Amino acid sequence: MGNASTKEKSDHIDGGALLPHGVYSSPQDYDFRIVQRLILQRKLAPFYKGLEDWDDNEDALEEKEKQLRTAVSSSSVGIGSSHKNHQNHGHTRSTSTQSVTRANHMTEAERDMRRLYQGAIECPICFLYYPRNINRTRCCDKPMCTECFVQLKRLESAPTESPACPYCVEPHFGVIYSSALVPSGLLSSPSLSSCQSAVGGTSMSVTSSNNSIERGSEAQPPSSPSARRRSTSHKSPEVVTADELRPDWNRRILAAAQRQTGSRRSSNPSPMSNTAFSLGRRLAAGRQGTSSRRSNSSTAAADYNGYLTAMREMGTDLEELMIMEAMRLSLQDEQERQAREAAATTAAAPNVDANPITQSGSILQHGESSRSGTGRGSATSRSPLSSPIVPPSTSSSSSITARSYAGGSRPRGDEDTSSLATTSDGEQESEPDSDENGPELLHSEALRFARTHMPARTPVTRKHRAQGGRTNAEAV
Amino acid sequence: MSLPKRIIKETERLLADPAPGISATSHEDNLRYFDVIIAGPDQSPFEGGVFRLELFLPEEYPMSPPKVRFLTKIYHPNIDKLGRICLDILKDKWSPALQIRTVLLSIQALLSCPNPDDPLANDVAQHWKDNQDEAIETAKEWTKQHASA
Repeated sequence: MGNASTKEKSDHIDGGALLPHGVYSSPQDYDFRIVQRLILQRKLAPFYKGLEDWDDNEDALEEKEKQLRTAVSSSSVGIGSSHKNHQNHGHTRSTSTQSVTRANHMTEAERDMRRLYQGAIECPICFLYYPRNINRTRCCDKPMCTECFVQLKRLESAPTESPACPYCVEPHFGVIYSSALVPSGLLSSPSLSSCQSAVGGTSMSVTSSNNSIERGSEAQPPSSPSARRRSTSHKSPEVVTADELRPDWNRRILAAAQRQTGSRRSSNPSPMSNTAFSLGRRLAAGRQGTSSRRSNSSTAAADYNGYLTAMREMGTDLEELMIMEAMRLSLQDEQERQAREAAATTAAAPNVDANPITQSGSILQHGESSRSGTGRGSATSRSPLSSPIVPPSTSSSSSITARSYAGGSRPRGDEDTSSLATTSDGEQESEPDSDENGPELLHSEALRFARTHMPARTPVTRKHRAQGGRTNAEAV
Repeated sequence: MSLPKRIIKETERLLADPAPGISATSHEDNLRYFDVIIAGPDQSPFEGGVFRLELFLPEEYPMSPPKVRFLTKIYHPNIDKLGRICLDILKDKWSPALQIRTVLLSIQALLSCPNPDDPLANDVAQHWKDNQDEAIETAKEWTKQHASA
């Protein structure tokens, strides 16, 4: 399925790979497409080969050549033509079986890798050595390799809490990658660097005595000559948060809640009540209205979870799941943002009751445009999660439901795609002060990415949906 | 399934540079299973005692915490009859940046500072709250009785 296409794309970025090297052998549940996109955008360090040991001193380097060979042999590193000058160097290995050209090529690659691993640092999580340009935590500026970063997720025991930094326990764990430390020759092709300048990540000027570490000529010049930054907000665009790699984390919350409550699913209290309770504890007082709204929608949301599971069991394309999740997540984010705003508003005006309409009203007062405010307010109060299990014919009875249906599932056709585009654009425009701007931008990017990579496969989806709906109906 | 490099390195470092009063040795036939010995901290009711524990690194380690249990009987409000330990970093406050060494140091610290307000052994905790001096005496007796080297 999706794996074949992944293999094709496993070229190298900044001397690292788009695929992990298997430090963690357990089944992986992060969204590999999102991870690859972030690596290509240079928002996340590539998967560098972790070395068991590293010593910058030359004797040790000799011993490590074998390791390096393993690191580079899987596919040739994109070495630019800038290495003509490096033809004659001291480390020619007498590898008898290889032809001279091959040996030269390998040693050159090795030399590049050695430059890359110059000053290598040990990842404090997996204890392997990586180039020193690997990710840094946004909060405490500690290194973390990508392979470890993608492991970090919400705890099943506390699904409502964003992953905390393993080093300093700051919530909303995220990392920042800067390719500025990559030796110039190892920077990838210009086409990819244009991606980088589009992202506009932090640049750092680094002067190294013996390493000639500079950005490639095509890269933008270092803009901030500052030393390492201090803590960066998780909303900052250059930060990749752990939640971003699992756009379905909200589904996991539901799954966990479902496990907790087990057979009490259909009765009150709803499966979400535990989660809602702890959410409520964490947030400001006076949030009951939002909590109960969530609880009301959660039974349907749990059903949706079952629907997704059914779909997965039927072998539905990962891409479809991904786009559904991305869309739903963006709605979910919106819902959460509203919840926070509602909490803030109710804290300011304690007499506001639990009526969601009142809440969207107060959100309106909070300075939103009426168009987006009402649209999203009503859509979320109807719960986007509940919509996809409704057959299309039913959902068309209400324009709001139809919209959230489109948002919660794959686009059914051109008209849905366009309405979606309007929705996401509208969200971005209408919330210049939103604290969730970064993620939402990403989600819409994810949508665009997924959409462009998924040509019309609508009939298949519809079939799946119908089947999924049936399966779900049987389960209920 | 091969053993993650981290576990190998941690094991090596524990041997090469052991924490004071703590030893951890992995089983030859199961490198995820450790025999642990923690010396009772000075100025604690457990002073002079030698406490045996078992430590197991689950498949998900270091993304999941190690499983640790006292094998030696101990009278402590946060350790129950079965040797299970009430320590947040062994549960929801686990972080993959922690290690075997830091976990064992935390357990050693727990021996120095019992916390009867977050009990695992309710009767012991109550004893500790009602009559701390008496509870400490009991802990000392247990140490002498069960944890003498």
